[in-house]
Amino acid sequence: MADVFIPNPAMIAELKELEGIKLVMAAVAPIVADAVREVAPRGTGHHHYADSIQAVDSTVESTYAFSHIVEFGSINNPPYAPLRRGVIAAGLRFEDDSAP
Amino acid sequence: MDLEAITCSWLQSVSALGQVGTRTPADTDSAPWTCITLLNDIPKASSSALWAVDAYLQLDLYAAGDNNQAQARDLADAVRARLAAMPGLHAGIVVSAVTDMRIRRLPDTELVPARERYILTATVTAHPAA
Repeated sequence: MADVFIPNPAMIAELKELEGIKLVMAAVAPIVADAVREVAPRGTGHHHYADSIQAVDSTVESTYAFSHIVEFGSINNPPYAPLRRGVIAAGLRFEDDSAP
Repeated sequence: MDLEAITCSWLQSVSALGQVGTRTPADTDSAPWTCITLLNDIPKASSSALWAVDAYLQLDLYAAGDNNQAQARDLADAVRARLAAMPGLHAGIVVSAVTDMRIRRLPDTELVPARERYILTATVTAHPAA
């Protein structure tokens, strides 16, 4: 009888905790952060956004208070999506695995 | 190929989905509305150059002025169902798949009170018909 493959729903989370993966992601994060700054909106009211982007360990973060508006837009702003576009601009493949 | 426009036309063909466009409509209060933005248009690595592309779209689905959350959610579900039926021929363009359709709630805080909004992201894969 063939074995049944059961996918591990926590696989990605578990991989992220491996020291080797952390090292690779920590090396890539500054590259993505640079790309995010490159595609960040300029000439708008959100000109502080680019300066707020930083690589922290294996992640890229923004400390700008209105970063959700920059990323997803609003009634007065298009979705500039610098984080999502930045990942692709850095030469990576963007996959949205965030929880809805 | 302008997949933003093609998607817009596909959704506009269903009147029950209300206003659908690529910018904020003049009247944002009388009915729910949808705004489509093309975030990326990436040639598929597995296809010939300038042939198949993956268009990554964000659709903002807003409630009307009475700010009914269920209304915005129903709109999101209806739009997602319509997108799922999109594969086929569209004005010389073959849409081969619509994938990774995710819905998340993110009220728009630039309106007071914050207006109920769901964000639907989707990848539309397409290539020329000939």
